[in-house]
Amino acid sequence: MSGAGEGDGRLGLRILGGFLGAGKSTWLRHHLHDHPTPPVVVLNEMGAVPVDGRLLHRAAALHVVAGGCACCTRREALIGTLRAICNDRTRAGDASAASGTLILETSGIAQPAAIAGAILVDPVLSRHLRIEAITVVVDGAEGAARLAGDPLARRQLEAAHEVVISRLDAAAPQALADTLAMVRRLAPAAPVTAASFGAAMPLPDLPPPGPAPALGADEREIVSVVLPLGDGPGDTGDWTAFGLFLSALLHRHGQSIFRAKGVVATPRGRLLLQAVSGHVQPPELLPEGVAADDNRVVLIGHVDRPEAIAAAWAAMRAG
Amino acid sequence: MCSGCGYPTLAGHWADAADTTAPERIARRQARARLLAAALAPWRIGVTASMVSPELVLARPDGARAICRTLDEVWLALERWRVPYDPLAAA
Repeated sequence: MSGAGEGDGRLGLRILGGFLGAGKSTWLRHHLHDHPTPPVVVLNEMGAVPVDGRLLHRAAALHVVAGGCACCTRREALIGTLRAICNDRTRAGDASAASGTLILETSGIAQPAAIAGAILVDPVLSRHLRIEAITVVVDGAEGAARLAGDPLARRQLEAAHEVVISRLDAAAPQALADTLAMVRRLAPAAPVTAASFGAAMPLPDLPPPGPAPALGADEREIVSVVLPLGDGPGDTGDWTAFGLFLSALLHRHGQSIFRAKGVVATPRGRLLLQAVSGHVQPPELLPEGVAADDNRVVLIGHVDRPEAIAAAWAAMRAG
Repeated sequence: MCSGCGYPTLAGHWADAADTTAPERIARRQARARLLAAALAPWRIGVTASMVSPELVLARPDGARAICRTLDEVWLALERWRVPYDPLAAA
């Protein structure tokens, strides 16, 4: 990405999309480490509790649009945030200079094409921003099944200018081959690269893909549930019960809960807890301190009865 | 590695990530066993966490037992026993 748009003074924008848990934040986190001049980042999170921003502290500046999807319910908030960034750039007097870049990480259920469309029709943003790429991240381990079963994931991919297949380290060769075949089927013109823990990796030699699956149409609404832990952000009292609850919940309902994430206070410190498709990643120890959003874990998925999850957790807490 | 407490490290179930000392691990397992026993009480399944080994032991009323190293193994054992435990069932 070259920064300001090809000498016309506009700020280059990369839209980073992909389904829940695909690895967008991991890719971006690595990108920030590698980038000689870190970009400004706009982070859109579906949950009311923004978590991924804790990992993106190397951004030149971080703006969060949380509590909904930037392509629909939070579209106006996104437009307002982008306008503010453009205004600041103009005030700073570098609006015609090739200074800085901008990356927008969408929520896992956002439609990158809709966001791009909203930017292009906005009279202010279209003068200040130039969309350089829509990059869509696809989970190499589970992408084929997700793309086959979820039309939302397919629509995201169809908007891609370029595709990153993530989690090369975790993907079995056959799963990776099937994912790659599905990506090439749905986004035949998009160049495909691969990554492991966000770092670019060459695709290995792969077996032939299996038969092309039928494309399903699970159109259920994706919703989020916030589970509070402890009596406040620093209270470690619920960790044991929560470990038990979340483990049982994901074992039984992990196929419909795509994502779980939050920062949890524990006796060891603040642990970043993340789960994708029912699998909990090794928790990451965060720097000391307490943030207002600690001890709130967001679950996102095709949850038929979100109130039941909150009630069940409350019952377990109460013992 | 101490066979009793699993310290310094076990293979690494995420739910064990908060404990850094042997006493913490032992206390956590005991507390987890109590919570699990309460959850499984409708099926009369007992749960114990020994002080001398890192596993949880599930026991059915007919005497059958399952030794589970992690919570994931607990859920699999319950499935084998056809115990329909669902954390959302009571909600």
